[in-house]
Amino acid sequence: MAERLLDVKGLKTYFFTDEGVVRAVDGVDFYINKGETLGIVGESGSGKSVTALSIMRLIPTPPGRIVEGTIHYSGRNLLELPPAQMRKIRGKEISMIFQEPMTSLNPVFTVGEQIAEAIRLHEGLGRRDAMAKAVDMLKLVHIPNAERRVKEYPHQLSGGMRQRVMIGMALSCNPKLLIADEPTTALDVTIQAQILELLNELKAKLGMAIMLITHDMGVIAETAQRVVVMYGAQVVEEASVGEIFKEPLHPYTQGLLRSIPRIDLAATKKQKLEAIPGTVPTLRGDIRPGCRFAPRCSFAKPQCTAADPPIKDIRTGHRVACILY
Amino acid sequence: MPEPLLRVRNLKKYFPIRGGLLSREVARVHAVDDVSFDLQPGETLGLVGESGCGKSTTGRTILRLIEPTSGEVWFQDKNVTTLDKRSLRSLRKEMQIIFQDPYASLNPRMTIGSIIGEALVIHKLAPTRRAREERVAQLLETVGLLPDHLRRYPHEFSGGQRQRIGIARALAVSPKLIIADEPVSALDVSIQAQIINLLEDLQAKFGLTYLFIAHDLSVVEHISTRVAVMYLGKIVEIAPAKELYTNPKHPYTEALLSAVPIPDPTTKRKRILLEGDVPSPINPPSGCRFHTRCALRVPSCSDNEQTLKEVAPGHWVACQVRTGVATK
Repeated sequence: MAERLLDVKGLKTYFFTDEGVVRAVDGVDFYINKGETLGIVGESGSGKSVTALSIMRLIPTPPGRIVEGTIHYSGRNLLELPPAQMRKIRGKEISMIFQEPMTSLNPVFTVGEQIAEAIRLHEGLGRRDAMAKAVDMLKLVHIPNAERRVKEYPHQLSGGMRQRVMIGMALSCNPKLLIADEPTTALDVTIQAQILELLNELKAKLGMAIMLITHDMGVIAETAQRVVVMYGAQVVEEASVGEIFKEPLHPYTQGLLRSIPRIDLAATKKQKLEAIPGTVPTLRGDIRPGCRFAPRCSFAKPQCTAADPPIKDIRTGHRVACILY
Repeated sequence: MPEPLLRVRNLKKYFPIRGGLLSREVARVHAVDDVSFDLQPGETLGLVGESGCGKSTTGRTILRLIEPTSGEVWFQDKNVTTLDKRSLRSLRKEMQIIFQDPYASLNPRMTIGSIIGEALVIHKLAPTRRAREERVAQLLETVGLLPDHLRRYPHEFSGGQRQRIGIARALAVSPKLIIADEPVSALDVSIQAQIINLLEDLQAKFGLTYLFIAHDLSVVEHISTRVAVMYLGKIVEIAPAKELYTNPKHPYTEALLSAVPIPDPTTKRKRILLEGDVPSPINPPSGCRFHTRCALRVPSCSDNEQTLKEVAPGHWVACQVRTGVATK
């Protein structure tokens, strides 16, 4: 049995806005084992990014607040840690990379200064040693001419290079968990391939776990070992990557997989895409009980909207929240 | 062979970069550099490439939303590039565009009725207010919205619904050609399929011709009859969709296709990883523009400008190594 690194239970993160309560994360359970890559898939507004920010305790408060749940990391509940201790974990034990590398880097500092800041803070190295380590990190993420690049500003780098810098910065203190929130969404497909390759390589080399948030099932298939599918602020299915693609159980997961055009099947006869009707639900205001996918689901029955479907273990490691099972 | 609906010949668009005391032109962005292709009536030509390759500029230059630097665009027997303002306006009845961002492309202060009906007024296609409203209601139904939506405002709709409104606006003047510029890339995956299916249905119903511009290779494969791949302002390969995806010839097309993640963990493919980034279009590489990142390059690749050569019926490639002109 693999050792659990992170265990999230019953997490609820709400935003209290003037227009009402937004239930961005509404009762989410999942775990990450040491050294594995967990993919979190979902569409906009499914709550995947807010889940990540909750783990890092970076929810802007107010308006946001974690109202319920626990997040255990190596036996400690992160939600009960005092801010000073949380700062020691953030960036050192758990670090995060974001979708848009340009807005997450500070434009007025060189990339070296920014990487060195975290190293000095967490590892207690002096300025010179921290800079040397920053150069090492740039070499680790395969940035050519690292000695020169370390003195450059973010605007002098391309999008792919900036994401490499972000990864280097995130890994500079040897974290045990890297949270990557849509790390390749803003990048072109050839650059995306480079970054995914880099993440896989660094994971093998450094042995950290990765929580990879994405909307792209292709990215999941090529990087994750396990998958959590989110819809309407809740987890609807969880399985190994092999099972989720071979035998998706939740009607949403099934619909999602059928609605994507497949480049690898170009040689076969073309079929019409099976679109999921309707639109992604809003999480604002009062939410009616029942399955949140029911209004778009072709299998929906009256009891689907009567109460929240419980999440059930169908077989080892495969859970689904649907009354069909 | 039927007469093409649209013929693009040696289209170029250079954007000047001005600087210095007198705002003189100091450099040029070679956004579109000598692009030629035909569009047959009823087909969908997919235009793919990475950001900055000039695919959107190509689309906009064809409509003269951006004035071309040189080259010709023929719509049937009319030379679009030399039309005066008035004739251009009447030609816009034939050629319409759908934009990427369904949030930014609809005026938030206009009702759906006036957004879609505006073109009917400009082109005098509906004599009375009543006739206009009837036409708008009918268009809304065509794109899968409700006729009584016409008094609502854009903010009341979701992204997918707004894209449907954008499509209804393009259809209002009954065009023959629609240029769709990344029409689904701002949408969620489950909504993308709805819009793709809608575009396919409309094509079958009205006999539309599409120029479908997108960076998502899977979407383009799905919807296109033929596909053209652009790199740094040039078309490097153009072929029937199936042929291009199953038998790519240009090394850039190969790398691009191999980079697409496949939603099936059991497929294992050989990935061709390109090194480095796309060079700047301000000072593009000499000769073949891809030679700086190409695994097949030979010394003469940096000298010889590449032209498209036919390697199979309808399959054109701009690579001297792959077309057998130069050998390794």
